[in-house]
Amino acid sequence: MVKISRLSSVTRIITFSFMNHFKFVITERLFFINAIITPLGLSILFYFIYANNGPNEIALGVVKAGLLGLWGANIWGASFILQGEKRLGTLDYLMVSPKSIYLVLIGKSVAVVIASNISVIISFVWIQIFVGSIWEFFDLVQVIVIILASSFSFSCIGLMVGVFFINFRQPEILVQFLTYPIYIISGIAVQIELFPILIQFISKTVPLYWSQRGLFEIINNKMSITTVIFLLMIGVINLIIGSLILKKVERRARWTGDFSKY
Amino acid sequence: MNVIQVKDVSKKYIVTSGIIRRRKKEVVALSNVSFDIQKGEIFCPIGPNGAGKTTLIKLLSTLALPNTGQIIIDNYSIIKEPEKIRKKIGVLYGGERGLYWRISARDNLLYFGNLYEIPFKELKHRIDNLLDLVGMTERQHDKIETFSKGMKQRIHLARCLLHNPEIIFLDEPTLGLDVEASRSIRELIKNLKNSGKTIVLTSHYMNEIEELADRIALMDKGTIREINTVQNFKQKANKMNLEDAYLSVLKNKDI
Repeated sequence: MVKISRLSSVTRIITFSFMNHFKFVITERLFFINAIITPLGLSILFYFIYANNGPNEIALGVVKAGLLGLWGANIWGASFILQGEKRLGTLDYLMVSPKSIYLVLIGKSVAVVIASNISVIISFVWIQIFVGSIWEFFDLVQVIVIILASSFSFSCIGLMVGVFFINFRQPEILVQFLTYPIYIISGIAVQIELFPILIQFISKTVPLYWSQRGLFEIINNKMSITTVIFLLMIGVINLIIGSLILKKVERRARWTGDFSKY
Repeated sequence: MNVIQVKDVSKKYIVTSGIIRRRKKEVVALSNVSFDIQKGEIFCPIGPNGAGKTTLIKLLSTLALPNTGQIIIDNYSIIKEPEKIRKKIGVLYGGERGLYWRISARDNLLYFGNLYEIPFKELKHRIDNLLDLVGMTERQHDKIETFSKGMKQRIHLARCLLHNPEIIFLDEPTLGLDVEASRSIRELIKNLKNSGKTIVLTSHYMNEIEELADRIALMDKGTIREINTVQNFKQKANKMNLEDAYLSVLKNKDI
């Protein structure tokens, strides 16, 4: 009985954190630039890059643009979770509540990644309007599986990014660092085989690489379960690392008393 | 019965300066502070800006950790068992910040209430009662960003009382409020004391402290210079009101 009550309490914290942050995220103008304007612009560019390679390549390029939007908006949103709390002064109150800040961060990271999925939806609409019926290129079930696995993995990375911001300021620097180099090494715009082995290895630790690889496999009718497993595995690893570093980060912040600084 | 015991507590902050050559400097916020607070008491740390009042509230509310010393709240150590303490305390850090501005007052209370394992039906009932208590029932569905300073402060108080805490920390709860709003918050604090709550209250308004405090702790530069009842403090300084006594004692280091 006690366990059920605790589980229900945990679920409520995650759900309310999710709802609270979802409302916040979808009313942020900068988020919309990341989640809508950027992938739209990239879709147009990818359209011209792949125009001579046939509709399959164009469709893949446009969905990759959607993925970039999902990644960028997710990292941007996640890094600003705690920055937002600091700005509002609510972090102090979350830190003196009996429940772990990790539960709050889980709810908020999920909110960010779900809101960020708007960029993927936009890329599908774009294909439908300018390239042809989306289902000619992609299997519905397989796409849903890849997008769900990507969203899980991205939100876990977002969670870890969030944990770091208990202590650090200037999220824009981390956003820059995590967004653009990862765009390049993820294999979306450039083939990763061009890079040295070490960078290729780093590429494979990035969920964006597995997401684009999954979409590539779907469009070529050879989707592999390994891709999904890798996406989920990267997510779980980040989830574990996040929870491990949280205690240290939180303790350090309590020593320095840095919660309110932003 | 002592519900709060503070023994030899010190807290230092590291402040850095410079861009290329980072210089670190230690700032002592609290130095060997000791006192006890009894159940049902209103205890008021007073002192000039930078005296260490807010740091003390941060330590007592488990937000920050002391460098040395021990703080025991309701028999739990803030270092070893902060989670148990957090269930028993309510905190108001002062200022307008601390609420989600883009959601309604009710949604704010629902959100924070969920962090305290209050059954959902009971939480809704408590929110209704508290909104009524702080006079915000009519505006409960309005966004916080449309509220005045006083209204926000009332919602802060309601949030602080959501889980019916036994010990309440109020850091300048009437800062910047108009006369009417300040008075209603003072009345609320008196009612809380009458219902047996232990309250630690900081304020720069000496009339407020004089009206509410059972005991005061005069703080200066991170140390406690004196702990006394308001009456004894005034008598000792040979002044009629607390403000005069406070200024006189601060100026005269020998008193």
